[in-house]
Amino acid sequence: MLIRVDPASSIPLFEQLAAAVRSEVLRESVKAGERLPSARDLAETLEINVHTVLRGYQVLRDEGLIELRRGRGAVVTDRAREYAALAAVLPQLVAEAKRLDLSPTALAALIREAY
Amino acid sequence: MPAYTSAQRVRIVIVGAVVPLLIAGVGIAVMFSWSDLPDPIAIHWGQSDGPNGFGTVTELAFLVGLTVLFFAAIATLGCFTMRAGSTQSYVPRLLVAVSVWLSVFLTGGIVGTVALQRGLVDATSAPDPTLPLLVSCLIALPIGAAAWFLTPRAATIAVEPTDAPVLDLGTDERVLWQRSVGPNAAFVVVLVIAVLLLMGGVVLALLTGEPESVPLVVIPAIIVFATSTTLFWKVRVDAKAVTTRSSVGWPRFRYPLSEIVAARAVQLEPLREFGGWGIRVGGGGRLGIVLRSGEALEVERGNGRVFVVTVDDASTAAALINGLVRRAAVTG
Repeated sequence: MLIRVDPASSIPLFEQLAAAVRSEVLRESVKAGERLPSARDLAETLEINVHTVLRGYQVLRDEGLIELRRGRGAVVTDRAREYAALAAVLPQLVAEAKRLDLSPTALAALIREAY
Repeated sequence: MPAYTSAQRVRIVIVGAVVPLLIAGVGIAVMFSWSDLPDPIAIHWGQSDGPNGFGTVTELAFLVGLTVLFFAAIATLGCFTMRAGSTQSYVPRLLVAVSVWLSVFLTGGIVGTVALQRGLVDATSAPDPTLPLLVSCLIALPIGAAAWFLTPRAATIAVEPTDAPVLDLGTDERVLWQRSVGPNAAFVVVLVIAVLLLMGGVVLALLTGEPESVPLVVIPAIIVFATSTTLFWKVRVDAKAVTTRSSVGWPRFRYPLSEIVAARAVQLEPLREFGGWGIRVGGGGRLGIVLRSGEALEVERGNGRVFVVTVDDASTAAALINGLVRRAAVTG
């Protein structure tokens, strides 16, 4: 599982963290039942506030992708399997956008509008 | 690509299996041809006071035949399943040489021990077997060495050096990569069976109630403990170091990023490159945590030492390490 966060980015750190975990689920590098690093460990390694990590984990919990349990930490739920279909269409979407020379922001805007 | 052609395989079967089995067969036939042996014969000796175990030629024949057959099968299967790799491996020659050496040593030693009992009325006066065992061990050495040289070398293939991937990292980007590693299910099943057999043996030893059975309990316990601590690992890459840690916390291999030159994902073959599984030292002092065949993360250190651990998604880890090393070089 690879997690990257960049304080220089305009996206909030907790959202970056949630996105990093989500994308690892998409590429099946993290599977259902797997335990994520503890919030304290992750905060220490990434040199960010532990509350930022917890906030990122809460986003994922609200999404149903992970479960937060005292003593057990953050565990990926069975929902991870349902992300496979999304993982299949995503490269197509990106390839199509690239063919049309659309920037990531432009594609994101299109997706947002379609919602 | 397999390491051996079919012609070479024929030779391996002849040297590593047919010859040892023939030697054992001839030895067994000779023992059965002797009619002037005591009944029963002595088959086990204590520390000082003569033989303390008695049995029949048939028992010894089974011991010799099955042991030789077992090692011949290992040598043949080991060579047949081997695939060509980029480096030369000593393993096939070792397997065949051990098979041949063992058959000469075991057959010679046991036939010699029985021969000394010919003409005796009572096996309790059977002479000490040290001499025949020692002599056959010495005779077996040059024959084993000859088998080593008669074993064809495994084929090697040139491996194209792949461009090491590099992850593009921002100057202040924070990273963590981690992954658990364990052996495959088949390996665990084999291990569990081995442990059960071991425990069965221990129970049997305890039931016989001899004082010598204490090490029989302690030693397997140590082996089981040592094995279980080195079965499951966690590999971790962060801005400081590459750490491979056993699931129980120890042993641990930690290499600070400043010591690392480069990393790459490689395909690893346990038997050929390391002669087996576990914490291993391979050719050129390459240290390996080898749990299965296939994808592995290889880390090259500044002192020329190489560390490798079998882990999934190794290419991502390698790219991250290279990105971190490059960033450290740029920013100083």
